[in-house]
Amino acid sequence: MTATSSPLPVPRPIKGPSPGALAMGKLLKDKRAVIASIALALLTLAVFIGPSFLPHYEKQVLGMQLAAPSWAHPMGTDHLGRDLLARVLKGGQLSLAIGILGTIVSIVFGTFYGCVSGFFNEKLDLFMMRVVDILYSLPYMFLVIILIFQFGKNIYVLFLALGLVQWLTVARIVRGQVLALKNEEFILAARTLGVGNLRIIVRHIIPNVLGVVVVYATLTVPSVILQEAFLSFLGLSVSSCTWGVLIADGKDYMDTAWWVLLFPGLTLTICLLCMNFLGDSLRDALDPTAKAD
Amino acid sequence: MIFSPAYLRRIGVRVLLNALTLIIIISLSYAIMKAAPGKPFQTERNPSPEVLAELHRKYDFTYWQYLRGIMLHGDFRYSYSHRNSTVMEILGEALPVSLELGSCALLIAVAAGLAAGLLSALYRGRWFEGLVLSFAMLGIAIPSFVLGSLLQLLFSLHWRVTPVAGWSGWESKILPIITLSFAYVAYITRIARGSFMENLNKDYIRTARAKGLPEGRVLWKHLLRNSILPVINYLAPAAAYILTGTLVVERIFNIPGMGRYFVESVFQRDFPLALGVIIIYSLFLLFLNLLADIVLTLIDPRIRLQ
Repeated sequence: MTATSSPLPVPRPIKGPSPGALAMGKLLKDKRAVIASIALALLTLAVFIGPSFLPHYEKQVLGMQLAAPSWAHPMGTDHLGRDLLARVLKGGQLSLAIGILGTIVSIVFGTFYGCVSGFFNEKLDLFMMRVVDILYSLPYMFLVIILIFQFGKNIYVLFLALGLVQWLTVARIVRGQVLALKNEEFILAARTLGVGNLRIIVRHIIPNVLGVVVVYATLTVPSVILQEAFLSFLGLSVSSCTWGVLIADGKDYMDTAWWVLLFPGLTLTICLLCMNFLGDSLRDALDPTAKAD
Repeated sequence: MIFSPAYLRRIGVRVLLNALTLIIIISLSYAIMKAAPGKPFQTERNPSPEVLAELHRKYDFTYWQYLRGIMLHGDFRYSYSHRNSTVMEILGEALPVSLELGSCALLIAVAAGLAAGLLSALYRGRWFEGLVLSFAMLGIAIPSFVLGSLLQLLFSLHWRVTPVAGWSGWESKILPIITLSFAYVAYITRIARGSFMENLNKDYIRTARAKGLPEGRVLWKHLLRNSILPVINYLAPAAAYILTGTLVVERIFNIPGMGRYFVESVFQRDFPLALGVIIIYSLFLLFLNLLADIVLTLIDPRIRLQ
């Protein structure tokens, strides 16, 4: 009983670029996306490291109220004589953090909801999607405003409120994907091997919907930031120094000092613009039906 | 027959669901409002029991009383912060203002969005396309409160060509309407452009052109009718966002509309007024959703046959 013949020649696996690498390549070719990413990286760096090189954002310089932009204060000072650049950067910390955390909360919940709705039986699906339909038609911003006003200007309430708005769309998108995926052969194969439902969802379904979810997430971050700024502008902010508050303050003093309004407004707009560019490009790059040029 | 029985049944189900949604909205808002500590008549000056009883009779109500009052008599109770005015009276003055602002903004968004979308789809690769796309991207990114404040700074304070605030005379209405519609011009441009580009490559357009139809007729009768569906689909969400937008725009330009009353009422704990705004806005949105569905069915025979 010896090993008789030489083993069959094992065919060399054909190595092609992975979908991820392909998408990355496309993204790097997209000038808009590269510029937006660099700008966002710089902005993030400035926001988190910048304040340590600047006067404290609460420090008031007496006699320097509403000073025009100069070398000492590149963005000028506000009505209490505080350095505006330091305040814009400090406000950015909160905005970026809320944007990212709020997105994570809503994406995780929405993905979970969408998976459950799409994966199990049809009756559950119908019910869960009707709930989403009903929630969709709530006038959200109005409810969020009374929610935040009543339960304190607290960062957890803010996350809850903003997350509540965003998860619905994720749930719909993910559910659509799951419905298409669950009858694929690899899911059947996993099931034949005796893999449990939970494991199928976690190991096989979620990795496959991840691309769509990531694209949606990059577009959710700017919308959460925008909503936080919207609430801050109306006076429902969790901190006294966020972009929305700075813009609202700037509006009160704009007739004497344009910079108090312009710089925070411009920073917010540029940040949102870059994030939207990046999200759009990412969607184009990850879309397999888009033309490969 | 335009509407099949199955379609009518679907509309019926949707009307019922909308009623359910409205009840949920009222209950949710009520619950959030009541959950906060503090009572409306807690003041340092302890009023006498008779006065207190009178106040309670006029202003206090339970959930069921409130629901019944609205359903049976359309009674939204008295406002807490505006002395001796019912919520209905206040909303009766504020609603036309917001309606004018919102519908003008929506109309401009649709008209300008369709025009820009069509032109940029027809003249691809020209400078015009780049201009339209940059404007669309900017429109989506710039928050309405930044745009509104900047416009106010430039046109009202710097050049002094428009009034700073208010809602009287057409000059005062230009800036708020532009501010409110800008983002939706951008969204509709993008949606319309995508739809126009997709349909322009279809065979029926080539056939129509090959038959020698004048270009205007091809665009109007063939292209527009087929490409407008995604835009109509977007109208109801757009209206919802525009209603939200009125919250800041009415505040920036000091316009006496529903949005400004809502923000004020929340800050002053004027619970009946805030609830009233939410209910009116929700009713409006639900109605608009239904209307969009029906209009879509009227325009597109493919949906009707399903």
